[in-house]
Amino acid sequence: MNTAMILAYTGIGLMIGLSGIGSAIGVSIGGRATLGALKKNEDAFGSYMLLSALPGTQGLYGFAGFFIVNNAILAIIKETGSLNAFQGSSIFAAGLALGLVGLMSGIKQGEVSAQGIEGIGSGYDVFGKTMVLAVFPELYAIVAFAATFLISAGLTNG
Amino acid sequence: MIPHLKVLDLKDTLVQLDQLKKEKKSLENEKQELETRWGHFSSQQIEQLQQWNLYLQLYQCKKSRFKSSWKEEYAIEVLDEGNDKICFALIHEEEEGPQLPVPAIPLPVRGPVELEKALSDQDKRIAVIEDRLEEFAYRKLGDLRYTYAVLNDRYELKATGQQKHSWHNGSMNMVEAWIPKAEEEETSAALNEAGIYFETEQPVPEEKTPILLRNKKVSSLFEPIGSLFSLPEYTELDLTPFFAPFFLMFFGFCLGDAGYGLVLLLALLLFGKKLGPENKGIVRLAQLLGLSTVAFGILTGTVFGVNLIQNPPSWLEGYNSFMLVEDQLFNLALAFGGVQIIFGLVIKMVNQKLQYGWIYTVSTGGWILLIIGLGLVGGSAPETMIKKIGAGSSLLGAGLILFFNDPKANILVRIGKGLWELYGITGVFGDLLSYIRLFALGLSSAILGLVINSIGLSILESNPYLGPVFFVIFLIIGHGLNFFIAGLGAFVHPMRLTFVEFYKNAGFTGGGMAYKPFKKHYKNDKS
Repeated sequence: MNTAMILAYTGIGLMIGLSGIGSAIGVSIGGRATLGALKKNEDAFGSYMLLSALPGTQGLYGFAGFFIVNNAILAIIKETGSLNAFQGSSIFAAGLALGLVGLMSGIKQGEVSAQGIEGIGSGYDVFGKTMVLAVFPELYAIVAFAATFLISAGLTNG
Repeated sequence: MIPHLKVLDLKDTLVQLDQLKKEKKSLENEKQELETRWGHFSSQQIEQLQQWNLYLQLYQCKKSRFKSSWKEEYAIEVLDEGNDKICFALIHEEEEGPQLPVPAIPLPVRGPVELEKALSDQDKRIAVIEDRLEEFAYRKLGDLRYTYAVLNDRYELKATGQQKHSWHNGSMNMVEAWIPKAEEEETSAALNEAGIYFETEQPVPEEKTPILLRNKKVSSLFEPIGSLFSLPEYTELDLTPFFAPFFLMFFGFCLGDAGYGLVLLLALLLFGKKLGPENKGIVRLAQLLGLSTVAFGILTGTVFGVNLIQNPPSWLEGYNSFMLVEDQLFNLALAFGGVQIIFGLVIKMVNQKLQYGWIYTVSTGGWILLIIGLGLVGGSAPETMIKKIGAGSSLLGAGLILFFNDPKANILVRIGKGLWELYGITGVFGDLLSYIRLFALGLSSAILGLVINSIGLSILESNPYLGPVFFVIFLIIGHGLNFFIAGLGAFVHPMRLTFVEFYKNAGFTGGGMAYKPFKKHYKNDKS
């Protein structure tokens, strides 16, 4: 166990942990708004549920990112025995980026969804528009996930 | 046999039902109160005890008045103790028991056990009435629908009447209305026959003209998606047929699993009819999306999370060799983006040509040249012919944007505005990068499928007997969840690419109002 390993696995921890927290908070915000909106309009539960589920993806990106990075680490260790400082710090960076972006975008996406749910509950036809607006914050989690993928691809190819 | 409910009895029956429900509520409250204070008992038990010369007194008092010495003097059982309240029972063998200085509570006539019985009787009574109501509703469904349609018609007639202009105490009325051009002849004939004087006019651009979309069979399936955002303005081109093929491909790209696509297709083939004729369009659309998913799943070699590009037995070991394919997918996503953005700009040119004249299209054409030129410069090796062509094309494009952005303004103003417009190139890069989501969504759904499979396999190996059972259960639940989440993403994200990136570049403003003709409803209602 060397510093590079510690860095790499700290990165993985941040990646799964922070993005998971982001999604958990995000979907809870949506869920709370749904329970409120149900008092006014119970027929639109399908729309509420879809909107509440939107922030659930950040945690999955974190998990999928972990899967890619973990396999890259295992492949490197199989080949060379351990990680070097460059590999350790790039995995840490990937984890930090995906974790932080997942955390914040999950929460904020939940807030956008919640506003939309409230709107639908009050009788405004904003389902499609909320869907489009709510995926705006998610793009950055997607970009961070793509970056994680590129980083780990670079590690195993290079 | 209880007689059928009649319309005249309906109101009384509803009142009766309401009363029964209220009684049930108060029974429930009574039972709960007794149970928290005295526990679960029946009054029969108390009578039984009395026959054996055992008498009960129930007390409830403030804790401060309760002396703990009573516990030694008398047979006392504390039944409930709150913060400041205490409930207890005193048991004695004579009919006239000892008198405590706190007032006793009369024994309840019915204990919780009796109340439970009463509650279940009440439930039966309610169920009988609800059954009758249901039977009534079923029997009268046609009548209800008919009444609804008639009331709806009456309401709409009245609402339309509000908009009329009247003169001479209502002997002369005027109504303005929209009709689609295709129905002009039919409407004129009907109005002439009815002896109504009318005039027709073309809408003027400032008017908010209602929109009736006319699309060919396949692209009309995508109209519900387009209407989630906004209908086009009357003078605008309807973009539904133009985004439809892209949406189809993007959905397949994001879900990208041949197995999921097949499941979607099969499920719709088997159960699609059950959703009823009004959902036929949605079912057809979902089938197309499933087909596209199968196509992209084959392209990326993914079936239920299993990567087919490698040999199925070795996929457990490592899957680094599919990276090349993933890189290609990354580039494919960007290429899709480039194509859709340029396609959007071409549509914008056509729109500008139709609305203002060809000179207004030059600047948009400049953008197309600039984007293609930059793409060639970025994508080719140095010192090649392609690079030079790319550089030339981008310079020409930038020049066209600088000098033709506003054909009416003078040259200096144009250059100033053109510089500002050229700054918009950052927006084009942003739009292009936005298409990376196609790649990332496809990748993440494929990886999650892979994860589910590998967890499933370790379950399979864990136990020779129970393993296979839990393996199958886990795979069904896991892939079901992944399918739901990936499917939701695969629907929403292409929608965003359509409404934000594509519509923006195509210069779509939207905000049209749907054409809802004034008509009789109950005539069409044959069910």
